[in-house]
Amino acid sequence: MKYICFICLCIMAFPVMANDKIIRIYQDADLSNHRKSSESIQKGIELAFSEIGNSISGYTVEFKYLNHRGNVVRSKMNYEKFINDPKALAIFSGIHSPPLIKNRDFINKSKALTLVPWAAGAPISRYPSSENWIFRLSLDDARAAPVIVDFAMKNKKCKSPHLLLENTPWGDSNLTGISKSLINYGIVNATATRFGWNMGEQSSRMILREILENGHDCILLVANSIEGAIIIQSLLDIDAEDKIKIISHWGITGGNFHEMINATKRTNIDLSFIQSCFAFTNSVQSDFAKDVFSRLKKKYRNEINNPEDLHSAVGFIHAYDLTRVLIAAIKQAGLTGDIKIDRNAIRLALENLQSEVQGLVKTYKKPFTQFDAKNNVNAHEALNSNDFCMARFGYADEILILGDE
Amino acid sequence: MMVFFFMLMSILTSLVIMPQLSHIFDRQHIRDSIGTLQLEAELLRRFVKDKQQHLESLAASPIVINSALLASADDPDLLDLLNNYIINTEKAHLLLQDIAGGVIYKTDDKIKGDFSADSNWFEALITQKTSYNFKLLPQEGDELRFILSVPVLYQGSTEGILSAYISTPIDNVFSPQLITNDSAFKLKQNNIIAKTRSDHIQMPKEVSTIMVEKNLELIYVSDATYIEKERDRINGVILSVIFMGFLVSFFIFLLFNIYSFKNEEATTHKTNLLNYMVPICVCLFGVTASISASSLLNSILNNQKYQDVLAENNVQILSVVRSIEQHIEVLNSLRSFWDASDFVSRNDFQNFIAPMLIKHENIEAAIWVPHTTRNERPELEEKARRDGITNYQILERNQDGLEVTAKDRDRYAPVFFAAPKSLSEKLLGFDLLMSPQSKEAMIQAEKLGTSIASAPIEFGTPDEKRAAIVIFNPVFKTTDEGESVLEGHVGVILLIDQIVDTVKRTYFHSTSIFILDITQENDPITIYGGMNLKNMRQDLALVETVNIAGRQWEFIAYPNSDFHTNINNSLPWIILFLGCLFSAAITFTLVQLIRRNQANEQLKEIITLKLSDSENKMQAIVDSTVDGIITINKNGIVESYNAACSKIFGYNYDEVVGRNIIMLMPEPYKSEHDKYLKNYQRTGTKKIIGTGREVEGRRKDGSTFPLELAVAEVKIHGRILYAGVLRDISERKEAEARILEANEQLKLLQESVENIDSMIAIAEAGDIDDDMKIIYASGGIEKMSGYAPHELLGKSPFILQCEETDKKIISKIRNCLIQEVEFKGELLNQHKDGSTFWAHMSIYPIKDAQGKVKYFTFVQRDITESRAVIQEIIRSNVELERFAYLASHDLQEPLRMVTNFTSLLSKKYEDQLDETAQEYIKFAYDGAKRMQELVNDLLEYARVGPDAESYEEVEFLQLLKLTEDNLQEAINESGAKIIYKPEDCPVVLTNPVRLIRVLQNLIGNAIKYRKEGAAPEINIRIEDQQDFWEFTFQDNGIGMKQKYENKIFEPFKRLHKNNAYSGTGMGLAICRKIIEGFGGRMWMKSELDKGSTFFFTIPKQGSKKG
Repeated sequence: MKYICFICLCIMAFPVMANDKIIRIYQDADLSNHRKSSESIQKGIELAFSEIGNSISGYTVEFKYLNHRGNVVRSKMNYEKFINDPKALAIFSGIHSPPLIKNRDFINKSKALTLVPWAAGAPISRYPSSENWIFRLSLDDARAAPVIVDFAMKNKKCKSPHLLLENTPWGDSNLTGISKSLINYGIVNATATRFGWNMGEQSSRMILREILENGHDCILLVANSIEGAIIIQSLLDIDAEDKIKIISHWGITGGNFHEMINATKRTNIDLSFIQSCFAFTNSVQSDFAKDVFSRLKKKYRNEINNPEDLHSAVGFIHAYDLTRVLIAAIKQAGLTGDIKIDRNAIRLALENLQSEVQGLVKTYKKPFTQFDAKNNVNAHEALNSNDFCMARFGYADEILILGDE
Repeated sequence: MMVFFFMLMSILTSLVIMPQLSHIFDRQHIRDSIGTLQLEAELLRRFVKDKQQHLESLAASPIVINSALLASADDPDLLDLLNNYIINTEKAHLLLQDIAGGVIYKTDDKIKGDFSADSNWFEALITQKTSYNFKLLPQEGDELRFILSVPVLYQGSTEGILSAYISTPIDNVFSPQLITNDSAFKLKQNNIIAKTRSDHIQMPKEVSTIMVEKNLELIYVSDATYIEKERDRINGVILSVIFMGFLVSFFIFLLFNIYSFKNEEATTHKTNLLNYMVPICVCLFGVTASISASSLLNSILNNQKYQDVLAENNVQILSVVRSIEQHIEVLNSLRSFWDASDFVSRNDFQNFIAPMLIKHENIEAAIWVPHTTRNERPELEEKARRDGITNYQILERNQDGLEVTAKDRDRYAPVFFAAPKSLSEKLLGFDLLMSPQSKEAMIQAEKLGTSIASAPIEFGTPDEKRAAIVIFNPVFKTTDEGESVLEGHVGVILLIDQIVDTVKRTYFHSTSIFILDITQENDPITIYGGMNLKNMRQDLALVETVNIAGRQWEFIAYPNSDFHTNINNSLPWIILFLGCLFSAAITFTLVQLIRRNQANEQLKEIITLKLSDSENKMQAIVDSTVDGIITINKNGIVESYNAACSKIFGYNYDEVVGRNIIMLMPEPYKSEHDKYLKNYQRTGTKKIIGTGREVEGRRKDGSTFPLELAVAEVKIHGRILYAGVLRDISERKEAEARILEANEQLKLLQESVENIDSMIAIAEAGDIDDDMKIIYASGGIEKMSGYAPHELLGKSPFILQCEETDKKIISKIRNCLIQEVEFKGELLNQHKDGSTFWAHMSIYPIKDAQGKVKYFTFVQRDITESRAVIQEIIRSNVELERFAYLASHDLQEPLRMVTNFTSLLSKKYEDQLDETAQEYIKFAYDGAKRMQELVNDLLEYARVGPDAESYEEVEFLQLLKLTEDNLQEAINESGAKIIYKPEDCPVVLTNPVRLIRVLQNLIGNAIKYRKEGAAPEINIRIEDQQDFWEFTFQDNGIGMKQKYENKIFEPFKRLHKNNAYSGTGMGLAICRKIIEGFGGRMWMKSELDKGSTFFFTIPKQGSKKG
């Protein structure tokens, strides 16, 4: 009788124990002012995990999304929640670089396994230690700047580009990168104007008038969607006789820039921006990409029917690829249930991935390696400049990769 | 008496009037204090709001927002902005914190940024539960110090906290006009207090209000010694008045008495007049008191009004000054905007100033006046045209006052931007250097680097010119060489009358204000208002000199003409009038009372004598009456109790008088009497008063009895008494009860009689032929005889008999009547219509109480139909018996022939008949035999019936033994046992033959229907059931289903086929009929395969146990 009772208890406890085998995937991003980019990343993560039934190595996968609203301190508070959660395995970031740059030391010292599918600030993945906890599959400003500059100088035939950058570490990062790239074109000490978040239209107009009056023909813009829209609107209001070309970083694609500067207004400006080279709007789609989009449509059937319906698409594309890489690393490392051990094991597996991972941007063969500040500074960057292209907005607000049109 | 009266009035005055006046004084003081407090609270709120808005504008700066989001102070622009920010004309002490409370940047150490002691306010700001925080710091000298904190918002979300430390002289915060020699203000938050000078207050009295949001308490402190002094003064006046009134009255009284004493003839008059002294003195006192109270109240009210006016004057001036200063702040903001901008376009100017103009609607216009040289003029004008001001040019007024193109000169100060747009046409281009007032103000402003107001200038259309002032603030630019040169002036145009009117409309109704610009001492200029010095009360006017943007303005506030109207208090006159009226009323009432009292005294003596006589007479009557008379007072206490009552109740006089009447009442009267009495006294609803009714009384021995009671209400000398007259009606009630009972019985009998079908007639006893007449006939007689009851009244009881009636019966009836005995019999009657009918007659004699027969009752029932039926039944039975006999006899013969001849046939031709033939013959023989049995049984069944004449007393045991003998062969063959107790067998009154038939059938069936292989056993039990014997025959046979319990008693009903068990199916039917013929009943219980039990009963009818 006693044995029977014991067996029954075990059976009853099994679901409880089974429910205890959970891992959580976090996201710390701006869910308020750049909600679309954050949600796009979430779709990428969830679609990739849904391919394996939201379960891996016997653990059920749960998702938890935290909102830092672009505030560095709030992001750190969110990270503390992640670190103190015994079931939190990895944390994805959002569009903003400043929180990751400002909190980089804290993240690495706290051994918070961080995956970056969007934020492009160069310092993010370059924590000077072989034990580097941040992995990026996205644009990297250090290698994006040349692409932007080359496009501006060669394709847009800029003669006197002016840098217009937000006054944040991301802006700082690009100031360095772009200035360095311009040197190759004989432009030394490129002129730059910095602006803060919450810049008003008046300030924007003042800045633009000054740029115009100084005879610049191109603006290399590093701004997010809110300030980017203010700047473009101010430009439209000024109604200068000569159209000045705007070659932008991809920050303007992260929110509802396309709604504030709609297709009609965009006909009056020459605006292009950098992206990774894959888009669902590309004319040629691989079977894999078609399959992924088909599953995406199925999962969000009320929301996404056509590629144009996927806003901030780059967030989804990178997050999807990066999650597939993560899944491969988890399978390689396995899970023990001790989260600290598992995070470290997965970190090491990411740096030494044995299997190839097919993604939308490309097929990843050992996308990451061990970081070395001197010899391997790009160790935690899955993409390179070959994966970066310039793009523009289509009439339906879709992103069209230039060269593929 | 009079002295006592005056003392009483004095005491009343002290206890009632003086406290009331004191209360009024206190209440008014509190009201004043609260009013002052509320006003100061509003001014304080505006002060804090102003600082809050200042800080919020800084927090909204993109530089600050950026730093908060990044939690970084790396931006040099941030440091530059915060370190150079001005609040309260001095550099601000600022602290920027992130959302976790970490310090991003602070300008100095004035603010620590440590909120660990109280983190609630920080959390409240982060979560936007509050829009700002105010933290009071300990006072240093005369400086009010506090920290103001506001959230740094980005897209509606709090991303940081910006705090400023502010220190300002406390007198700048509180209105000096409201701080007098006997008042002060305090600010209190938690345990920290900041206050104005208050050491001159001897007896502080505080009134406070909470500025809820920030847990800040504003306290107004007044000196209670002032209040006490005033109160003492008032009390002294009142007491003096009372005392004076008393003295005056007393002296009047004294003089009058002295005068009366001298005159002997006036003795009686003196007596009468003495009686009226009280109302005279009351009147004098009342009038004196009314006059005093009225004048005192008037004084208080007037004084209060004056105080109100003075306070209002103070505040009005202050409010106007503050309002103007707020408008000047707008100019400062405009200056700051210019300073912060490298370039300000026309649109920029409009966009910046438009919201402020909406908020400060008393700013008539805002302008930008660039400093322009001769050389710069064309470019300036061109620039304006490019901006869309197509006709722009620098203008001036000529001697005729017309606007013309400005002449060529070295310098211009044209209006280049103007808002709102509706006024810009009038203002744009005008060279303000051509306006002396503006020129002077601009030069002064440039010199001092601050806002300077112009002297009043005319503004508006020719038809509507108004006084305006223009306030200028210089804008400087830094040249490439680093020099600061004048770029131009920003300015605002204020219409002072508009500002003052707005303030007045909102707050002040009883006072006016007059404003003079006295910057030029010898040439004061009126800015607002006009004052009529003749009518102005100098003591109620307040004059203040204030510096308004570099100009000296004199404010004179004074009560307007409404004040004098309002000051005419009507309340004191009302008090006076009512007081005199009240005194007159009291005096008149007193006089009337005195007169009435005198008359009453005389009347009283007369009535007393008459009453005494009357009482004696009444007493004699009351004591001699046979009915009881009791009087009680309104509380139910017995006051009088006559001799008759003693006889009725058994109590004597002393036992009852002085006690409650309920002692003479049983329940429920006892419990309810007091309630009835009180109810009548309250509502006047009468239950017994004024009427009579029957109630119950209670004697001394505890017994109760019915009594008739009549109660009347009597008023004697104003006292209400209730007089009751009562009578014992016990005997009458008994008699009534007896009569009632008899009537009811009679009624019941009558109803019964009327409803039955039989005829009932009552006839008086007496001579049969002469005296015996019907005095009553029931309703049923008409149906039976055709005669209506009334037709038989007075007739002979033999009226229904006729010729056909049996004479023997009639004779028998007559004999019974003579012998006065009962008769019962049947006779033939004649219907009214001549037809005859049979009736059963019963005659009963009715005797009176003495036993003498007074009446005979004749009861007749129509039996014509029943008689006919009986005859028919008898006839039918006779025929039936004859039929049965004939049937059995006639049927038996042919049946015998069949059986005999078939038997013979079988025997004789046995050799010649084959088996089949033999079998056919056997069938015929058996069938005939069975037919014979059936016929016999049928015959027997038909004959069985009630036959009481053949009954005899027989021993049941004997019958059993005879039955056993008859069935011996079957008993032996089956081995049956018949078990019974002989001692239980009774003697029964019955037909023995038939009973044997029953016993034989039951035992025979038990043997026949036995189980195979089992000897039948029959248990016979007999039980005495009082009126009958119950016999039980229980066997152990094959039994049957209980559902056949009735079927087996039906004739010819069999449960088995004839080849299984022989029989006709009549046995039990015959048995049941026999038993029912005895008057008993028969039934059965059985269970298949278990056996059956048969029961029957036989009535005893005189039978006894053997």
